[in-house]
Amino acid sequence: MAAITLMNVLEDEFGLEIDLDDVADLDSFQKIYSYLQKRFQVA
Amino acid sequence: MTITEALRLTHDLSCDAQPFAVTLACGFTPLHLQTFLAAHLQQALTNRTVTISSGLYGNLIGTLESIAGTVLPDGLVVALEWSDLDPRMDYRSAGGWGANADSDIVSCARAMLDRIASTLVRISPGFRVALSLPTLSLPPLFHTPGWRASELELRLEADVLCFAADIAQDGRIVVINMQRLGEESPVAGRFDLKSHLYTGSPYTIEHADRLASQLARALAPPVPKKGIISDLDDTLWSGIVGEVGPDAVSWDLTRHSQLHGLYQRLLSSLAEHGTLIAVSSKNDATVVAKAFERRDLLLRPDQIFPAEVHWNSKSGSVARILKVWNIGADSVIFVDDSPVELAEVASAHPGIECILFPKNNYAAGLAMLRHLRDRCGTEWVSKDAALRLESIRQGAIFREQAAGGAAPEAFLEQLDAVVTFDFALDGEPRILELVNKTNQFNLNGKRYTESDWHRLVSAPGAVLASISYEDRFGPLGTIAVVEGQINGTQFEAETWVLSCRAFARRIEHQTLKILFETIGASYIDFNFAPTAKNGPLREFFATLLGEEPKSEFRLTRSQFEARCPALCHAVRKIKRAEDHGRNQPTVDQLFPDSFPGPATRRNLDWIDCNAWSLGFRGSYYTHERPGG
Repeated sequence: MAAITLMNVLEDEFGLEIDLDDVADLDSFQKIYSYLQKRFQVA
Repeated sequence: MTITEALRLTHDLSCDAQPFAVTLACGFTPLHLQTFLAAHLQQALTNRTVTISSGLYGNLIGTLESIAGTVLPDGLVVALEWSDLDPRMDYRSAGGWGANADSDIVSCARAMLDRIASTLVRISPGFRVALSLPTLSLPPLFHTPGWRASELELRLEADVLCFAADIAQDGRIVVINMQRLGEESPVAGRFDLKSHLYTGSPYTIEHADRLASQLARALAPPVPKKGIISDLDDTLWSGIVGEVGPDAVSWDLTRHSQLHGLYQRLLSSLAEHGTLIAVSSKNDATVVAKAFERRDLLLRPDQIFPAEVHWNSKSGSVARILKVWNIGADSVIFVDDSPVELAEVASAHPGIECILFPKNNYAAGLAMLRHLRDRCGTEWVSKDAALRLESIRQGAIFREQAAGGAAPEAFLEQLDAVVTFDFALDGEPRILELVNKTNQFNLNGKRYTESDWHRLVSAPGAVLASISYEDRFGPLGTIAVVEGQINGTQFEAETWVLSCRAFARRIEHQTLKILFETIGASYIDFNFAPTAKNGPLREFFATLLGEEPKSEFRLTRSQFEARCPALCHAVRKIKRAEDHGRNQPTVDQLFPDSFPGPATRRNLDWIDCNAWSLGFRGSYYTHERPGG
């Protein structure tokens, strides 16, 4: 549940929506960082 | 509120604050609801540290049954959903929705509602419960197309409403208004199926925020405003009475001034439930008096006091009204159609809430009516509420007569004043209401939740007295509360409040006299703390101590008796605990040394004890006249 809350905080902070399907893979700072970089590159 | 803001609110807390522990009972993963509930409660209870624990997933009734009858935390929140009534209504369940299941689901839901209701009523007294009815749409399980309500669906909804109506009779259980929730959180935006299936948390973030806000308000409601001061022209009625005349101002449908009529109806309703209503108008008083003679007024003239009608400034009028009411500007709403008048009053009376009457904006008018009800509405109807305005009106006459001529003693002697001490009303909501809203004569300004208060007054050795008063000007109702701990012949006063309506009658002196005499104490310790508003209490103690107290202090009986003025009240009866249908400590247990009677004398009957020697033994209502 803490992971879901963290994803919601990231959504708040970065103004994006994170699919629940992606949450299971985001289990480290590095993975989250890379995920965000990719999302912003795509955007 | 965003999740980030909610988390920040709940993390930036003082370690010293007293905890406020809440149990959240729900059958789903509480997730966002829990986060937002903690944040909204933290906003309402700034001097507490809110903690929330939740029950087991999928077992709301189990959570409730596990806490019923036990010592509860400070509050309980129940977020009911359809899936709690029957698992077949849960999208995560594999239960069938066939023809045979429909009626069975309704039957099972009804049985579960009965079980929840019987569990909730077993929750210990003194604890507040906030409950939301199902907020999500029913799954498409009934045979009718979605645009048509099936009979079973309607029966299911009716069962839920009957359940809510039944449990709402218990004043401790607050059912949130689902229509209001619908305005703040549209039904279509509440459910997140993917989140529900993946995590067991069915609410969207927005819905969790809105629902948590309502539940927090139900658990920790804001203090209602005490009075409304209203303008007349283009506010209480449509038109300028000095220009068109008393017969031409209107508040009806035919002249398209119904909004003013609705405003009058709301004020009248609020007045009936204890909100003070006054008028401040720049007008010719004789013309206004004529207008108030009209029989079609929806706000009766006797519901208004005082009326400040003249050409002087409105800030001055408001000052005089506040003085008559004897309350602070922050307890009052001022309504006027003129932004200039609102600004003038706001600058002179910081804290007053100023509302512009929206003459031709019907949507804003409706919002204003609802806002006034929200700010002034009462949670229960108290018999004291009906007395409030009349007692203030009589209080003004009282002060005039007290100031005019006769010596204070002579005037007070003529009052036929009766002070009633009642030691057996700890569950009466008026008592806690009085403690929490009294500012000026308040020992320390402490505010209590229902659970705090319940713990305090049910502790071993706790003494609680509510005090009511009446004289030839009429009854004031319950106007004071004293609470403290007794230890042998020592008394430590933790709470003492006296309504400002009851000042100048020496009730505070009589209270101390009764406490000293009853307990047989040589001193009383007062858990005093200065506040920005408790000057009247400090001034009272300065007359006994020689100077205003700065912190906790002790008052000796000799100090009190040396400076206590003559008291002219009849001290009347203590109701026996049995009269209120509850078990209280016996009077012998509380005041063992103060009774001349046999040890079997029961139940807080110490005034009766005084009367006992005068031959009034056995009466419920006993009198002790000074020197009688």
